[in-house]
Amino acid sequence: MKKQTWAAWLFISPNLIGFAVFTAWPVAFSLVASFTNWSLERPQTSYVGLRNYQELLGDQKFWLYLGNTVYMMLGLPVALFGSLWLAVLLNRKLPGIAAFRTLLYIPSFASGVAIMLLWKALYNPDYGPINQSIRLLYGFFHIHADVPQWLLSTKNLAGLDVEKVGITGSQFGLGARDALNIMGVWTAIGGNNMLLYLAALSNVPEELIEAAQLDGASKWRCFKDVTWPQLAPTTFFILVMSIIGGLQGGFDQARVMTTGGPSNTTTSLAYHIYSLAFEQFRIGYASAVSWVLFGFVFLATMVNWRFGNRATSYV
Amino acid sequence: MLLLICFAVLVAASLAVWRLQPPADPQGRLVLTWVSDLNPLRTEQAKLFEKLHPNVRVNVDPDNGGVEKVIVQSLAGVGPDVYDAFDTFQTVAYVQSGVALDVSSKLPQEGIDLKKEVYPGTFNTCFYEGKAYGVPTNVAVDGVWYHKDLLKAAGVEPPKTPWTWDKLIPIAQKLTLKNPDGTVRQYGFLYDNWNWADFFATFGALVFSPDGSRCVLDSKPAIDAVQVMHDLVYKYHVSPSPVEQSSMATQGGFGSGTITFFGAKRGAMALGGRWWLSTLRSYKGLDMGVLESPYGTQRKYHMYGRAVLVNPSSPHLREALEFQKFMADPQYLALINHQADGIAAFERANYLPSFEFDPDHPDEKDNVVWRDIAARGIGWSVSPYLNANTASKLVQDQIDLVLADQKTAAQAMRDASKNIEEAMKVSLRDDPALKKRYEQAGGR
Repeated sequence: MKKQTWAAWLFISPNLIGFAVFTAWPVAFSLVASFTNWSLERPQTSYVGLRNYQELLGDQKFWLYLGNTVYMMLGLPVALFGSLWLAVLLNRKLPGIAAFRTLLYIPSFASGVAIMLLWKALYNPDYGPINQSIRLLYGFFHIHADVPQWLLSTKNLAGLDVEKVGITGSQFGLGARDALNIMGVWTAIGGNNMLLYLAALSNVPEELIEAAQLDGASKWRCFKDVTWPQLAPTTFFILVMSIIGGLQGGFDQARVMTTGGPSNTTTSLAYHIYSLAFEQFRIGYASAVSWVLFGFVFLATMVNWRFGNRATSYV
Repeated sequence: MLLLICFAVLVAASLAVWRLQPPADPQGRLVLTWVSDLNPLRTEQAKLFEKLHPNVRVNVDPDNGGVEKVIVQSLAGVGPDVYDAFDTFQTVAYVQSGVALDVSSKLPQEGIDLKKEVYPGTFNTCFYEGKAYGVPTNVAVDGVWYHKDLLKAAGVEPPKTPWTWDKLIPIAQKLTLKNPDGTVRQYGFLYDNWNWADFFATFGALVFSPDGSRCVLDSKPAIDAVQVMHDLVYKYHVSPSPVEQSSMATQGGFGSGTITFFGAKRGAMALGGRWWLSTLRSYKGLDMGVLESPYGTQRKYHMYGRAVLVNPSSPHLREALEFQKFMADPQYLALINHQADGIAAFERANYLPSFEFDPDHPDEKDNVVWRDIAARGIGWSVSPYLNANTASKLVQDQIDLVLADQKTAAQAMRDASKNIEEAMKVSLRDDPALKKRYEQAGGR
């Protein structure tokens, strides 16, 4: 091996060793652990084959929390198109546009915990500004209805049941899961996705738009048929990353805002894994759930790659 | 060659920086890490130990609190020297995980006889299967706090104790005041949803059978206890629902939102411990009294409190044991009582005149009430066959549904019982040794 190659290996070795010790090894180890009954409470651990995976298939809680996770991803399309809309607005050459861009990027660099606590206060059913506004509107339009209880309610727009996988009419309404969805959309719209779209918009060749305009295309037509196809790779990237983030997400919100409640309705798979491993000490089973979650993420990414790539066209 | 020299310089610089890091204690004292809670009272308690042991600095570490952190860190060899177990559930988890030192033979050598000196209600936090692991730091029992002026304004005399939950209801109703728009201005009686253990104790309800082999939550005492919790909110409207409780919003300080809500006089009476004073003392102009808690079918009260445990792999085992022994020191016990950090776990400290009347807090005239409640304190039932955190969570999940008025008490306790039995089956399946023991004990 050349001297320079040795030197290169030497210089990347701290990072490589760190990756191997703190990422690759734990990941591999968790796969092994998923085939054991390892519990922090017991000194002995034994191989149990696929039993954890079999248990998981019949574990109602796993499916409930998977349902919660998927439900809390329903805001992704709204967030995606919201980011695009915001990027289009901010892509204009207007005085003070840099200030607007900075302001709208605040959710990304502000402390996540601080934002969550702020939203928690906004959602207060009695004194929160959201319900105060709803009450005002109800009063104005003479509507006699209860205001949503947000983070304290098990209700949701799909009517998902609390204790079993299914739909129950009595659960229909606005509740904690919807509250987290709304917050998630707000956070995602003005964040990195907006920046990615801004960068992509600035790369759309102006001559293409000019040519379309010369051909008499309206503004909407220009956007739909010229700009949007040019944004396809960015949209694809954002979609894939959002789905991965969504499937792995929900932990921070559950930890800070709801502790997974009410009645576990905001417990996502990520929070469930934490609870299994570090509250119930079932490391083996938690590892199995982690690998199944990885499987879902992998599958979703593959599906996106397979079908999303087909739609990603370059004009 | 130049690149290699650069690399070597970087490595040498890193080593130098590591070597030059400042010592853990500038005075060169041994640093003993105590994982406890965020309560500011801990600092003063640590300082007292430092005063008695000038060669030791106590590093109070609330950031690494939590069963999972203590267990994982201790098993990895980087755990604290001493740490607090906050309830029976935690002690069991620590012992079963092998991170708690058995001090059964050491304590008698230090002249400490826990069985004779501390409240029996703390035994479950200190002992597990006959062996001693923890020494209680303090204990708490819940009584009924009340605002004397609010009772007077409503024309209500402080109730005579002992009293039952039935007696509390009409009084709480008189003390519940509403605004013209129907919203409640002042609740008659406040409690937290995690107070279920208090209600359970007064009805003689248990989570597990005495041998721990069965969950007995689907029993009349448990259902009755949960029914009272529900009825206080939805039938008699004297206590806030979870939705209304959230509107109380914690306003800072140590403790839960209910304490600050009570301190702000949004409740005339509240179920809470003497430790509430660590927050309420900072409120100006409160005139409060304390009553023995109401009871259901038995005049027994849930006793809870911390115990300090020693990490067997601590590099400072001698000092860690000294710290554990410090929990029985008369100066420490006096400090606990003076700080109102619950009450001292060693009974003898609560029969001293200094406990009955603290000249620094002359308005606190009900200390004897706390002592009397503590004398009726009982510990919690656990099972050796199920992780105690899991059991607690499964109960709390169902209580939450009852308090959200989504389930009846009977249905919730039946479901909790079923869920716990299922969790126990999984636990036994995963641990053949435990299963064998379970079967030997007559479990099926």
